[in-house]
Amino acid sequence: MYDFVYKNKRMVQIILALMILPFAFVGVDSYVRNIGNELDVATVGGKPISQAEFENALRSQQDQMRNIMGRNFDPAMFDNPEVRQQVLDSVINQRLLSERASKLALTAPDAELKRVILEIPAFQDNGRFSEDRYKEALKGAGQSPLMFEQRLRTDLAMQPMQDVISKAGFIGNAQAGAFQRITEEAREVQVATLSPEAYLSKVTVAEATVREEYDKNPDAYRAPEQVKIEYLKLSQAEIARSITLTPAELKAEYDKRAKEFSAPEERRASHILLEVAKDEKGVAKPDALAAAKAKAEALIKQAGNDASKFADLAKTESKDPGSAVQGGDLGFNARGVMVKPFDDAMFSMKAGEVRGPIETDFGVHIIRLSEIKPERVRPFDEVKAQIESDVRNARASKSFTESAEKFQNRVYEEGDSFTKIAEELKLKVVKSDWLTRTQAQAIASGNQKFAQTVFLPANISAKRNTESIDLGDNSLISARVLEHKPSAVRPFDEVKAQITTMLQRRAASELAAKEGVEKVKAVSNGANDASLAFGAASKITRQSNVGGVNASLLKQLFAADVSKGVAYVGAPTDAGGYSVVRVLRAIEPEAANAEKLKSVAQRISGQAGSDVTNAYLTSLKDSIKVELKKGASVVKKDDAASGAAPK
Amino acid sequence: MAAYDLDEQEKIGDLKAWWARNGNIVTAIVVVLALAVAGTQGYKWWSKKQAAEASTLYFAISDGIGKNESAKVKDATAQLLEKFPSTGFAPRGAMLAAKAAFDSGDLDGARKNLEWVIANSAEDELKYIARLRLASVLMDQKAYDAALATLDGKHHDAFAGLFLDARGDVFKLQGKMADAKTAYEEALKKLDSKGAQKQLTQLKLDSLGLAAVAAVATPAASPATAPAAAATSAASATPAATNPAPAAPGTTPATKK
Repeated sequence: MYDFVYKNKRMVQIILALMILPFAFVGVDSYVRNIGNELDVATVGGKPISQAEFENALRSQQDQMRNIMGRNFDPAMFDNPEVRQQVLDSVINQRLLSERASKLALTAPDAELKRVILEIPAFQDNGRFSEDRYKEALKGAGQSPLMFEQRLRTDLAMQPMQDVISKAGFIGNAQAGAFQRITEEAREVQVATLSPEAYLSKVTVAEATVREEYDKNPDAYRAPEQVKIEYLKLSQAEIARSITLTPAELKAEYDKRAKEFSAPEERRASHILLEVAKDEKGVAKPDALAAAKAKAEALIKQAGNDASKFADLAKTESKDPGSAVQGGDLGFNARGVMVKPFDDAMFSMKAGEVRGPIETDFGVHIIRLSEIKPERVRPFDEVKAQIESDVRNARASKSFTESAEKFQNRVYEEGDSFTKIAEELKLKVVKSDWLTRTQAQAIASGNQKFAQTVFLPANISAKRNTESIDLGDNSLISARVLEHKPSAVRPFDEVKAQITTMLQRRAASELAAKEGVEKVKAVSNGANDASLAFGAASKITRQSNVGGVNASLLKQLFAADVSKGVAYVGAPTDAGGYSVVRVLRAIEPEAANAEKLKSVAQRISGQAGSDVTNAYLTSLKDSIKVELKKGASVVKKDDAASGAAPK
Repeated sequence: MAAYDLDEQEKIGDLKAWWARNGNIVTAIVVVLALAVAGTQGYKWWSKKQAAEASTLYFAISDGIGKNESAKVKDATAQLLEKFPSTGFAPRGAMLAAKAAFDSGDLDGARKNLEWVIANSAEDELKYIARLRLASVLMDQKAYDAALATLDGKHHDAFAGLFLDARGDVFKLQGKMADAKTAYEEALKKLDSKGAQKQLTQLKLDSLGLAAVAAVATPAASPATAPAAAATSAASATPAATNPAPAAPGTTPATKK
């Protein structure tokens, strides 16, 4: 055996090489790819869409919706099988397109790739493409340029697939013009409305009829479930209101917080700083110090009492760059802000006084005190209200915190009464009248949980105090059901009036309609009917929204032939009356100019675009087989089965 | 080289004999297979190269439209359709060029490009779209019969609603309102109820369907009585109470007998 191989080595090598050949060209994946996976949700053209790919699409759709809807976003909407089916459909559609694109070997040329990359603003610096920005931005997104370019190329290759429907879509002027006429042609009309109220007096409804109506569907006259309750509420706001404070208490608080209500003395100074050379230990050199002091004396003489001269000197001579440009001004400062020798000097000077030389770590200063703002204390009366509310709130908050735990424990412990706990916490037990759920909710500042808890069957039957419920605004509430009335059909006598009114209105509407029809007939035949109160003539188009003219009436009045004079049409209104319309004349739309036609054409062609897309995708399914996997956790099984497309 | 025992020598002998008998045919099969593989791969390589060159022309058309350079569009389209007619880019480029021609008022140019797609595209799905657009161009050229003939052409059932709607448009332009009505009604049955086209078609149907009926049924009021009636109508008509009352029974208006 070995011998054979050895002797025919060359030939065996060739055979082996040939066997490798197909793999070299096609790759191993095409042999593995078509093996179905149980986790796939569908296959398109034999290639699977994995559960993970579907979930990804679902997630990005969710993110989009969250961005659009903001706080109104409800993630639960993505549990809806219909929504999930839609997402799956869009993944499949995308796949259909890319499957066709890859079969056609659609690619994008390098030049196009380059053009697009150069135009992406994120890669630009000062409006021009920057290689560094490009690499940086991609790094930030965790992609290599190669990966990015590959993906972009795939996207671009899909462009012709989209273009052929959207960008290349158009509709001719003849079609657009015909449509434009439909939307813009108008009628001049007058409307007379017979209101149902006018017929109410002509209507009598026998009690037997009312009874019959009631018996037909008594469930329609159901009263909701109701309870009478007793409740106890602990609220910080309520406590705050109940606290009384004596003037003495307030005054004591004012004295305690005196500092808070006083502004300390502040002084405004300007200075000129002269630098003094220091030795290696950081001590000023004596000769330099003497020179600086001498210069300071000279400057003081030069400035004299003149503020503006001082400012000028500060600008030229001061070595404190921050203040020099301001003429040496340091603004208002309270005691202790400046270094000690400076501070001491500043707070012992009179306004307008110039003093120096003052020696500090910075050098030698000449100081001019320009203004003194004395200490100011806000009087008690001015801050009394604020102090009162502060104290009240602080005490109420403390008291609420102390009582809250007791409240929570005791309402539960006491079981079937609030008397003791109310006494202990000085609260008032409130008894309600009959309450529906909504009314119960209103008692608890709109808290839904409270209403739910009160109406729990367990709480209704036990007639015990409910747990304490936190209403969120620093208040707690507990309630006990005293009496309960289940939802029940209301007795006939209670609803008789309501039903009677309803039947009267119905009959009045019928009467109005009947008379309306007769009137239209009569006036159409040339009769004159003064009882029809026609309104002013107005122009109306197919898209108009005019009171008393609903869609069905619109259709009729446009259908009316006015070529030989006025015409009359009528129809019941949505409000139960009847409208009679006198159509005076047809108003032809203005002939559309080219620009207008173009915009109409664009609008229709855009609107119909989705229909063309859908038709295209459906027709693609003839040659690219789409199979939905049953039992995949996308939608209910039935949906998956009925959705399978191939014909 | 080790010595073989008898058994092995015998096997080797068999193999040699087998090879002597079948060697040629095995070699031939292997060679044919190799050629076939090389052929398909070569073809794939060739079509890829074609696609790459065609894509350059396609994007030139697209670019030319963006920059409003009609000469560039025409030139690139001509090259694309002549040199690479079998690529997926050719029909798509032609469709783009048709739109560009239409926009510049060149109806014949638009028609020519769309007709090319219908005649040459390897993808039937594109032919359906091209037929719809060609019909629209022909309507602009008042070539109504040609438009109807185009719409008679083969199309997938998914396109039926759109084709019927376009037929309705042709009939309406011809003044054949009854035919238009039938076409629109048929279209409504086929159109996707979720799409926007259905509403557009419904509006078109409404605008002519009832008119035909009403023209027969509505008696004209005598001109003499009309102004008199108008004079008495000073009060303005307001819609009746906000209180929604139960709907009145389906009363038929007098105009629809």
